[in-house]
Amino acid sequence: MTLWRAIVRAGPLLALLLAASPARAAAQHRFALIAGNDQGGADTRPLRFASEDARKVHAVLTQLGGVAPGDVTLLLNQSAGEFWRALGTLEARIAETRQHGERALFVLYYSGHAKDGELRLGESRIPLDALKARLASAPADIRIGVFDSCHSGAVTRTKGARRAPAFEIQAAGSEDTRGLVLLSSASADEDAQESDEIGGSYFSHYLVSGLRGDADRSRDRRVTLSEAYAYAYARTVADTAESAAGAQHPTFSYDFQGNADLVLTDFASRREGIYVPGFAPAGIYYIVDGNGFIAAEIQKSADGDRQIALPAGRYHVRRRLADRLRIGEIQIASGQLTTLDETRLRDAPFSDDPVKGALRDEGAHLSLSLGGTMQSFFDGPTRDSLFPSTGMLGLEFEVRDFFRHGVIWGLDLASGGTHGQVDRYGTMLPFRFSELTAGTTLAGEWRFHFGDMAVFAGVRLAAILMSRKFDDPTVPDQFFATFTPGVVAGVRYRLSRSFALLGRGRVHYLLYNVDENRSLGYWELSAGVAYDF
Amino acid sequence: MISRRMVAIALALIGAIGLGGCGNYSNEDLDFQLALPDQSDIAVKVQLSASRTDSAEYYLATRNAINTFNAMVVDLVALIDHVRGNSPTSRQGNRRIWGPFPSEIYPTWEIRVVMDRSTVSSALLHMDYWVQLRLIGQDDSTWVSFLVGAYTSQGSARTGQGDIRLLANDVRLAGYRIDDDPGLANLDNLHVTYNNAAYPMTVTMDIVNLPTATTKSGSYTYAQNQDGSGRMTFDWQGLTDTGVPITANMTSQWLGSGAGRSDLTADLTPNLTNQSTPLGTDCWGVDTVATYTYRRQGDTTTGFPDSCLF
Repeated sequence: MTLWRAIVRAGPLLALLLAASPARAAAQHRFALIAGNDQGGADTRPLRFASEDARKVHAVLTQLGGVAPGDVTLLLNQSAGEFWRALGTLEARIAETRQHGERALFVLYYSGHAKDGELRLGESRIPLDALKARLASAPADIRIGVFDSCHSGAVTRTKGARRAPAFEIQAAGSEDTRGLVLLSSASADEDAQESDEIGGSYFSHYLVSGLRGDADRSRDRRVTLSEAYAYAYARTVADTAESAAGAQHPTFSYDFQGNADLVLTDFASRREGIYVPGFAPAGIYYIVDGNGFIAAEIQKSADGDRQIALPAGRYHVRRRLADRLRIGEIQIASGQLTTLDETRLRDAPFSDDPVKGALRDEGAHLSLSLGGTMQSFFDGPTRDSLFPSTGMLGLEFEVRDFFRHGVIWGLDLASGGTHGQVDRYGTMLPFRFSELTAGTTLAGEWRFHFGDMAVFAGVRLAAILMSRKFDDPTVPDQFFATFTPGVVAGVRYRLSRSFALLGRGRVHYLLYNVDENRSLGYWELSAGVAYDF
Repeated sequence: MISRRMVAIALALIGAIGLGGCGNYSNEDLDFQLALPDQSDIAVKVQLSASRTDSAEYYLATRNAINTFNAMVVDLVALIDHVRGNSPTSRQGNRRIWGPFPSEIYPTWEIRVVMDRSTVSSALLHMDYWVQLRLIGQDDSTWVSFLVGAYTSQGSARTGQGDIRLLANDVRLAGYRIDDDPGLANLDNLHVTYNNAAYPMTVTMDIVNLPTATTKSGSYTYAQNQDGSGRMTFDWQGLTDTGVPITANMTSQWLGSGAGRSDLTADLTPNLTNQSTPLGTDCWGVDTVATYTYRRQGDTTTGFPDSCLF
C-alpha cells in the first residue's frame, strides 16, 4: 500500500501514464509464447509453481488479452530445443501476418530457473543474450518479453533499463508504435521468490492479478502494460520486503519507436467477473479458487469501486482484518458480472483461512504419522481361512512438496496380527496370524478450503510378509512374502500448525502363487495423527 | 516428463516383482501334512507304571515289546517326517513332491517323497504316498519305492485309517545298501496299519524277515480304549537255538490303572501244527508286582488266580 501510494503521489509520472493513448487490444494480431519449467538441472531445486504461473498467464492472455487460442503456444517443462522450435514457428506466422498488412504484437513469457546468464529448461540452456537478440529481431511490431526467474534482471541490462516502480510510454499515436519491452521479475542480483500462500511466484501472481483488473487505475476497464507493471512491481516489493530472501525488485527496459501505451487486457466488453461496489469496506479482498490458490486480489480503496475479470465458477472470498477473517463464497455465472456483497461474508478465526497453506508457508517439509489400520481381503474364503482380517499399527514418513508442490512421497511400515483358524476336512487348526508391511507411496495432494482439509490420491507399492504359527506343534509355520501394487486416497485435516488428522483408504492387488496363481485384492482403512516438521 | 514407455516399463516391473511372491503359505499343503502319520498316531501310548526290581517278569516283557514296537515306529515315521516339517519342492494339482534330495548316507543316491491326494467325498480325504530312491542321474522310471503308504480320513483330516509298507527287499535288490543298517539287515518287508478314527484305536505291525534270518516273522497287534485300558499281542515265528521251528504268542492286557495280565503260549509240535500250549501267565497289580504267576516249566504257581483282572 505504501509503495502504491508513493507511486500515486508521483504526480508527473502518473500524469504521463494516464495521459497515454492506449493502443487497443484489438488493434493488433496478437501472438504469445508462454513457457514454464519447474526443473533447472542438476544443481538446482525444483520450483513449485513455474508451470502453474505459465498456465495462469496463458489463461489471462487468452481470456482477456486478445490472444486467440490458436495463436499461443504453451510449453510446460519442455526443453530448450522445443522452445526454439516453438519460437521459430510463431515467428513465421507473425511474418505471414505482417505480409497481409496486419500489425502484430508478440508476448514472450518465461517462468523458471535462470543462472549465469542462461535460462535453464531442465538440463538444457538458453543464453539470455541470444534470446534477447532473437526477440529484438522478431518480425512483430511490438515485442514484449516477460522473464520471471532468478537474476532475470540481467535481460534488461541495456540502454534504458531501470529498476523503478513504473515506466511511461509517451502517447502521440498508436498505429505506428513499434519496439521492444522487457520485464523481469527480479534484479540481476536477486532471487525470484515463490509463495505457498499465493500458489505462485510473487511477480507472476501480481502480474496476472493486475491484468485481471486490479491494476486498472484509470478505471477504463483496460489494463495497460504500464499499469500492470506498476501494480506488479509495487505488490512484489511490498510482499517480499519482510521475506528471508529480502525484497525483490522487478525491472524493465524498453526500446520504442512511436508513442502509445499498450493495452494488454480489455474487459470492458467481457462482463464476467466480480464487481466490488464503492460502498464496500476498503481493504484487500482475496479471491480463492477451487484449489485453494489465490486467483486474484482486489485492492479496494475507500472511495472507489473495483472490477476484475475472472472465469465463471465458484470462488471463496477472504478479507483479512487485524483480529479475524471475513470469509464467504461467490458464484460467478457465465457471462455475468457478480457483485460482491461484503455483508454476506462471515467472521471466522484465522484457522479457517481458505487459502492454501495459509497457516504455514511450509514449502518442502517432512511429516511423520502414526496410526491404526484395518486390512481385509475382498474374497470371503480367503479372508476366512487363509489371510484373516487384521488390525495393524504403523507409521509413515513423508517428504511433502519437495519434488513438486502438492506431491508427497512416503515410506510406511506397519505390523499387526490376529488369531484365525482353518478347517481342513473337519480338522480345525487354530493359528496366530502375523503381518509386516513396508510400502512406498507417491501421491498428489489437493488442499481445499473446506476448513483445513486436503485430499490426496496416489499409487503405492508395498512389500508384504504374512505368516502364521499353528497351535498344533506338528504343523509347520507358514509364510508368504510378495510385492503388492495399489492405489491410495485419503483426507488430511489440519488441527494446528504441526498436527493433522489422517484418514486413508488403500486398495491393493496381490498375486498369491503358492497352491496356484490367484489374483486377490485387499483393502485397508487407516486413521492416524501426523506431525509436520 | 513421464512417457508411456516409462509407465509400461514400470507396470511390467511391478508385475514381474509381483510374480516373485514366495513362501509356503498354503491351506492345501496342510491336507498332505495332516494325512501323514505322526509318531503319536502309531505308537503305543499306554503309560505303564515304572518297572521295579520285583516287577512281574511278563510285565517287563510287555514293556520291552512296547519299547521295541515304538522304536520301530520312530524309525518308520522318521522317513516321512521331512514331509511334515518342510514345504513341498513342487506342487502339481493334487500331487506334491519333496525332493529329490541326495542321500546323506550314500550320496550317489537320491530320495524323494511323492504324495497324491484324492477326495473321496466332501468330508473324506484319501492320500497315497511313496518314499522313493534312485541313483542320481537316472531317469524317472528307475525310482524304487522304499515306503508305500495310504491314508483315508474319517471325521477329520487328522483321524482315519492308514497303511504303511516298508519294502526293504525291493531297494536291496535295486542295489541300495540297506543291509548296512543292522535294524534292516534281515528285513524283507514291514506292514503297519492303524486306525485312530474311533476307539478302540488299533495298530498292527507285521514283520517279514528274509528266509535266512533266525526270526522268520513277527507281528504286533495293539488296541487302546478310551479309558486307558489296552491289549497287545506279539506273535513270533522262528527257530530255537537248536534250530527247531517254533511259534510263540504273548498276549498282554491292562487297565488304565496299570494293573494287567500277560499270557505266553507256544506251538511246541515238531511241525508246527497250530497246537498252542500255555507256557506261563503273570498277573500284576498297579505296582507292577506279580499277584499271580504260573509257569509250565516246573508247573509252579504263586499268588492267587482270583487276583487276575482278566
